[in-house]
Amino acid sequence: MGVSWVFEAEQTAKSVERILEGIGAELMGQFQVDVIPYNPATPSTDYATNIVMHHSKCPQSTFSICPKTDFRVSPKAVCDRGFDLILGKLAGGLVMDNAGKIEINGNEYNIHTDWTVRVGTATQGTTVKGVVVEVEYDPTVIIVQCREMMAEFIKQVFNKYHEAQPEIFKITEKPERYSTLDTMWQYLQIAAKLRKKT
Amino acid sequence: MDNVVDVDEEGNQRMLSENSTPYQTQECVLYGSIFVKNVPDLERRLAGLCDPGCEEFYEHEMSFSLRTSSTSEVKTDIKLRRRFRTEHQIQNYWQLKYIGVPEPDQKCPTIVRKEISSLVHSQDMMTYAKSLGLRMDYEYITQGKLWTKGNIKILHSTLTRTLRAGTYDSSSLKSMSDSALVEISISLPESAEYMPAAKTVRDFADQLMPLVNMEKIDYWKKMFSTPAAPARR
Repeated sequence: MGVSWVFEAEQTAKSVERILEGIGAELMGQFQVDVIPYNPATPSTDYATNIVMHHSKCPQSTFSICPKTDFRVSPKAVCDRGFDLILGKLAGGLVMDNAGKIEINGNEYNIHTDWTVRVGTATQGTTVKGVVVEVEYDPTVIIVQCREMMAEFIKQVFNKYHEAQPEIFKITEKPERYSTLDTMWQYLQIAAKLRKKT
Repeated sequence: MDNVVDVDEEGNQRMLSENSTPYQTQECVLYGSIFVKNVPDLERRLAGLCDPGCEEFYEHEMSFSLRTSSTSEVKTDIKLRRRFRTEHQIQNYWQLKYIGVPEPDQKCPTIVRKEISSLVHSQDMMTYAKSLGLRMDYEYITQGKLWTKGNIKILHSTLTRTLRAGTYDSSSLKSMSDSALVEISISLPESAEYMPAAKTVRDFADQLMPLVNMEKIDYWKKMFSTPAAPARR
């Protein structure tokens, strides 16, 4: 559990890792995120693209979001991995878009126990699309409790990126508990941006 | 000694992680029915045969199918089931289940079919199901008990349906029949040999004999033999 801030870095993964090692981060292992779009078999107004995601932090879970204008109105669900098998049975309506699949692979660092930073390279097929960084603050699931501190952390460590806060950080009315689904929504948006990039 | 066990468990967990699919996606199943007034007799019999204790359930099941604009002849059915709201708790967990067409195996003493379940949590399951392209065909409410004996599952339940869609209070619920449905099944991994399990299910079912006659019901023949009037049932 914890609150995550995911952003796209302009630097190479190596240089981000060097910065982290410079502040005493410990390499914990590897991580993997994948973002797979499932498109309607025939264009229809009835249903839209469904994005299915996995995160190595939750290896037994599948996250599924049908993106609409913003996160709150998007139909979404957390499932166990059996859902992937059921999706295969729905191929008549939703077809896996292999070409649009984005994979993020990289290293996971731990800084002073409370912070986990994941640095990964995003690839679409064989093309490298960019570098994605996830900063996770473990002790809380309430965004307003840690938002400022996380911005401070990112400013201190990278000296940039802290201006563009994730959408969920800006919502002040009726704040809900942060969940991994919120993290996946950030990955979803970054993946959509990366896909357009050449 | 304890340490040894721990290590073992960790090893298992690693094996299950990432891309492996530890899912049991096949099932052998038999169906039967019993008059509601005789259910207590069945329960006594099951209490003697099964593992101690049983689980009561009160669940709402909806059957969905995939509607594509192309009129394909194969209909994909998806069952969605939730534990019914009780006074004390509202659980927002749903069981999403795919049930395939049975294998055409004459020799097998039970129905063998593909069955994939997934536990799903969504704040608004109906909207989510719609976004997957699923439309509801029918719904019912099932109340009964689950017994186990090893890996055999025995379910007996009475079915009710609602007279007014969307309302599930006792005044609008109507019993479907004066019989209870009995289901005996075993779940198996993907490509496992199903014959031994099917025989186990059959043997167990025969022990309920004078009370319930468990059958390999050809329910799919009814489903598929009338192509003139599909969909609506």
